[in-house]
Amino acid sequence: MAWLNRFCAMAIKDLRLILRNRTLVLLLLAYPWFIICISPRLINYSLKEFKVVIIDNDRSELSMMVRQSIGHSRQVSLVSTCNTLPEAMDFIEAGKANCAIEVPAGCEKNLLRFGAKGAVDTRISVTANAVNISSAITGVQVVVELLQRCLKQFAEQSGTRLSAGSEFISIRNLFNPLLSYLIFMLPAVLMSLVTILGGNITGTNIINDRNNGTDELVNVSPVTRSEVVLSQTLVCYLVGVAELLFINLMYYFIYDFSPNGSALGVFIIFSLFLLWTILFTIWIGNISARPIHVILTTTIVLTIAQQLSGFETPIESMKEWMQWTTWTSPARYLISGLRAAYLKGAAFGEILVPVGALSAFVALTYLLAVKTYNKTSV
Amino acid sequence: MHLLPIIKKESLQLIRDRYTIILILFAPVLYMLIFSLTTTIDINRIKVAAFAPNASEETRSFIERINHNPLFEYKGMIANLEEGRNMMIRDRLNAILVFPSAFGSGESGIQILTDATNPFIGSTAGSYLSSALTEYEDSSVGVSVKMLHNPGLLSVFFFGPGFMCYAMLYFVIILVAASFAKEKETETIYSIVASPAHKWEMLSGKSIPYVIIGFVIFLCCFAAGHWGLEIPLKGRFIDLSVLVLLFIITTILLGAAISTFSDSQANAIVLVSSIITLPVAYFCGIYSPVENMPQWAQEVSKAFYISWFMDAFRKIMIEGQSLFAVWKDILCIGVSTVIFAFLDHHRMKNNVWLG
Repeated sequence: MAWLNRFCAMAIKDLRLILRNRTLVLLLLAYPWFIICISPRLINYSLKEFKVVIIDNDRSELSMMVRQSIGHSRQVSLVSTCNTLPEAMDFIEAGKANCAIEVPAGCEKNLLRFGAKGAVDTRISVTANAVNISSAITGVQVVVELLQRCLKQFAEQSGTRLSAGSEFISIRNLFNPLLSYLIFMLPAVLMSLVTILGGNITGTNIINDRNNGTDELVNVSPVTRSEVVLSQTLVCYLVGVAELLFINLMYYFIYDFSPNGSALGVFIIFSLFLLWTILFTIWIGNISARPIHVILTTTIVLTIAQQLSGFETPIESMKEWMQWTTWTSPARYLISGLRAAYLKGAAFGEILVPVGALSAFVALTYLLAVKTYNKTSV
Repeated sequence: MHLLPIIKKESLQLIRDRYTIILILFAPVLYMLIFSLTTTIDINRIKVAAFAPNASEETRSFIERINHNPLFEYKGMIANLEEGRNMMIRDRLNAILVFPSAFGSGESGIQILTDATNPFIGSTAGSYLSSALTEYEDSSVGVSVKMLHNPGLLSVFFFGPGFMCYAMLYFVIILVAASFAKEKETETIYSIVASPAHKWEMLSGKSIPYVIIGFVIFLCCFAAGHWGLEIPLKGRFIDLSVLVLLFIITTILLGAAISTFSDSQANAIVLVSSIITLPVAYFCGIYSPVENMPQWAQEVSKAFYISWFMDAFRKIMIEGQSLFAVWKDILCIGVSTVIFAFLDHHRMKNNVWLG
């Protein structure tokens, strides 16, 4: 079992390299906490608070009803009352308000005389700052619904007819009923852990080996190419799996969050992606002329792969030609598989496509890593 | 004066490294373009299927409204809800319209089941479908809506400037940190320390080429964003340039400070990419609006000069404000510049930097 002794010696060497590097140890200890506690809460496109100013030129019962509705709303808050539109724009430009609601003079009178399809210049106008488009879309929807309810209520009180409402439509949100961004992001932030482990830690080991000259010692030993690659892979993989288990335990205790579907599927998909990342870094390490190019190239490529995964914004929102390119990114299969298993309750049989695709990526990258490892290089 | 020879030496070192030149010219623009094209919440075509056990004339008229609406992609009828669920698991469907058996008799309504895995898409799909199915689908009753600065509601107007900033920050800081750390690693720093050059000459001499590089990165990213992605420039270019220059100088000072804590290029890059750039990008309004974050995160983001820069950058570029209108943001960036300059001076003055 000489090969086993060689393999164990190599693995222990790689593990020592990691543990003797203070920066890497700090990363391994601190980064999971960043992933657990901080980063899932920061990516958020839901509406927190939509600040509005009102320009009330009508001073009627209708405009009073609008103010009261805004006052009772949890998502919309009234910041100020302005006399003119330019004054309201100053609030928006200064970032103190997101939106201005103008109730023009004659609005109530017009509504009573002509109903909903009255003159446009006496309609309530909503002007919103759309630079933050997620808030703009959701906030304006909330404000428009609020105003429509006001108008309907006023019309019922005054006996004016408006169009039929949407009372007969109900909406039910599947998989994430509370529309929580935290739940949406918890599976996805595991990918950044893999990028750090596979990219930075493996890359740093390769660089340190080259800088210290220890790779030359390995090259003159009887260790085979596949043993070198496997030992580097195994150590980083075991560290990654330990981090995954730790993070999932923390998810369970802190957020009461665990896979609704196959836990085995989560483990296998994560393992495959981690293996791919490590093997990819080793391959880049084998073909790079200078050690520093390893970590830069790996970081850039892994970050691009991460962007093509749809981990924070949906792939369907990308341009069509861009959506086709996402099939080349292993991260896409990771994210779709993780979200299917965590949120959608998918069984292992339902995530075979991402598992199969990632397995193919791992096999190809392993062959490249072994073939390109050159024991005779200077 | 020993500044010019140090600038010359640093510039020659940069130019002779072909990998770095390629990295500077192409990688930031590639980063910016890919990030801007992939990070988008534009609502393209919401994939909808219908489940109607007893399809009546009324059911078909509702389905026709969806079929002819360019916001939706009608995927056809499904035999049962399990089939719809399986399609959602495979990301082939965003919503299901459920028409109950008694639909049309006036006693029961339509149910919309949305895939809310992505909450933004889930809530928007439900809301858009609900509006499309009601009688006043073409205009809001008694209400007109106007969107300022971004009437087309394009994600790239928000994310594009953010990723321009990220590209500048990431590549400038990595190059600077690696450059300073390399001097320590290869021990060539001792020859500079032993020379008659003052420490401020050494810091300035090594930093000035990177100011130029940072500005070149900005120009390339701006050109790609403005002409490639059609991100508008409503303010003045000179205002934007002054702001970017201040940002680059602050970033270089931060990179130099980081390099004093690492003993090798690899560790410097790991420190920068894992501990500095990634968390900072999350807190500073690059990936997600600061105002959507929890209150504690909003307070934390105020400590980072990048948040102030992002705010000012978007105000000048997208909202068309002037440099004077964002004086508060510039003041906060200036404070960070002074702090990092003092930190660098302290670390170098006491030779702590030499490790």
